[in-house]
Amino acid sequence: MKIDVELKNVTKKYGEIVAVDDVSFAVERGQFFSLLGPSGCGKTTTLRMISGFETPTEGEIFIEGKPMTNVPPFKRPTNLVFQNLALFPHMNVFDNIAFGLRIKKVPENEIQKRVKEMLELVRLPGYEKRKISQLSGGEKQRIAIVRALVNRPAVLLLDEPLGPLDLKLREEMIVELKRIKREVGTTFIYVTHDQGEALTMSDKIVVMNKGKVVQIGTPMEIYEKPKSKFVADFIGGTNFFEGKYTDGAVEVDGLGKISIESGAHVSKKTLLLSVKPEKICIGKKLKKVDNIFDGKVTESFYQGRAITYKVLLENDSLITVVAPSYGMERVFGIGEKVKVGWNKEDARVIT
Amino acid sequence: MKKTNILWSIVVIFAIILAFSPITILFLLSLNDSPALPLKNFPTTKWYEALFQFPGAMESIVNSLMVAGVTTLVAVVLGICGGYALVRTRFVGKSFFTGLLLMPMVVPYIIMGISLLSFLLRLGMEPSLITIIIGHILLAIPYATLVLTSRFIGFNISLEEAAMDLGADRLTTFRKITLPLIMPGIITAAILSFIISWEDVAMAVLLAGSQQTAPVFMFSLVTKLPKFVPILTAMSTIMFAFAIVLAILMRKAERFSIS
Ligand SMILES: Nc1ncnc2c1ncn2[C@@H]1O[C@H](COP(=O)(O)OP(=O)(O)OP(=O)(O)O)[C@@H](O)[C@H]1O
Ligand SMILES: [Mg+2]
Repeated sequence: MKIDVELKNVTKKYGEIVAVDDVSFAVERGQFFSLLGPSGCGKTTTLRMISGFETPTEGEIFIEGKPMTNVPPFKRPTNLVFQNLALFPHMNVFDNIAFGLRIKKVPENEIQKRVKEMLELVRLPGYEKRKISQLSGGEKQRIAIVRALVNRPAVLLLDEPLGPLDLKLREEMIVELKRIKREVGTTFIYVTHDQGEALTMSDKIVVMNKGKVVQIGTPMEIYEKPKSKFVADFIGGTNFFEGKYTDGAVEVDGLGKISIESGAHVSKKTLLLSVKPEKICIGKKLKKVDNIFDGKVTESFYQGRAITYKVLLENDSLITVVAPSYGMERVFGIGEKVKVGWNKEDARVIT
Repeated sequence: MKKTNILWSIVVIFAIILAFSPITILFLLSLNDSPALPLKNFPTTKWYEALFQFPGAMESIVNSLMVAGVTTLVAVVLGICGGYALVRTRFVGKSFFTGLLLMPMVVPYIIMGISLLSFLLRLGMEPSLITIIIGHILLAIPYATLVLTSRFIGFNISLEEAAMDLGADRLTTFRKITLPLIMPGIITAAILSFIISWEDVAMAVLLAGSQQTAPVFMFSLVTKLPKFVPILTAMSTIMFAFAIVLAILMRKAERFSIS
């Protein structure tokens, strides 16, 4: 596989602040690659270094194999969709999209053709003459994306492009983005703090925290096999259990034994387990489940597709359980005694 | 709700009448046969004809146009640079320089004029239209800079970055993005600078050499009242018309540049 973008030990400091700390990763050609992390973890800074608006304090960035130090933004084979879109307010839709092509002196009839293609790609044909102020949020989003895409960049960089949209529009745009990606085949580097977006769209995800890369993997690896407490918690939330390991189980104070799958980790004495909320079942009686504990419902939130419970266990720890509303006999009320349980393979050993 | 609207309209109309009545009267008088109301033989162009033949009158208007034109050009260019520097760059003593830049706004023109005159004489410059232009530029710069500073403050820098990302170098970015977007500020700064120069008497009296600007010429006629009053009304009307036409043209240009 060809590598389109590679960061080698890139660090960016603003005075004392270390915004990006020794970050390395490689993006393969044609990948939908996501940078995921909480606000302020250095995602935008990383993207701005790739597009050339910031220079790394240390380390080097390669695009299509060439080192990018001293290459100004306007000479890089990347295009960026800005966090705030940055559509030119004094130009109409056509002129916005045509901007990059005109700079490159593409013949006018070719420009006409390509802008038209792009508007068809995002299903906004006939929008050429519209002013930017006459577009809805989702329309602006799509124009911003094709204004970058029309230049046929080697890599398209997107900085939280769905941030300000409402939930429904976001979901539509996620489908839309995946379709666009499939049709054009360009490498995408997508920045987001929304794990849902990242999991849905990406081929590969880099999880960042406090300027550092904490894990790189496919969405499934990141979600199912988090390597750290941070990743386990940040991606979808989780329940932690800590205890001593003794043959095939972890002994948690005040709770009892949690049986786990046998693995290489047994050399350690204390283990941290992560059990995702939706892997836990809840009921009056539980059958065919490896680990079962008693608990009391302290809160319940009906959310349509699912019901989220907070359950107090006997060791006074509060766990979160997400039960599908499908096939539910009923919703458990606050104060109700229940049993919660999960299978061995759903308890991930973190450390 | 409707009542208050009508009330406001009345207030606005009253304010307009108040503001425009002297000018209207001036305009009527300039076309009147006698130097005072009531109207007689109205309208007549005889005062305008007299004005055109009056030695030095037309020349002073041309001088004023030239002085105001150059002042506007220089003040706007410097205002763009100043606004850009104050908003976009960081340098030692920035707030001090900002204060310094705005100083001329609070110093009386006459004091500015006197100190500038002694300074220019010290440099060995003879009073002329050029010294007047220098004076007017000094008067206009604070306003031009202030207007453009606020324009740069409201400017979203990612628009420039987006242009560069799309392949535009710095110069192209400035021409295609920055300039059109600060255009309303440029127009306002230009109108302000032009008017400041166009109506100034104090500086122009102090710094004038053999050539006079229109307001100074009019001032010198005022001292020979009342014989020249009708000529002055004609000249005032012309001066006013220039200012108005200019402002309207610039507003038009602004709308054109934005759309
Ligand atoms: N120009 C700058 N000067 C000083 N510090 C900066 C600068 N730009 C970013 N930072 C700091 O660097 C860190 C990373 O910022 P960055 O914008 O990359 O975060 P982010 O992950 O994009 O966050 P968000 O999700 O909120 O957009 C932050 O702590 C921020 O305060
Ligand atoms: Mg950001």
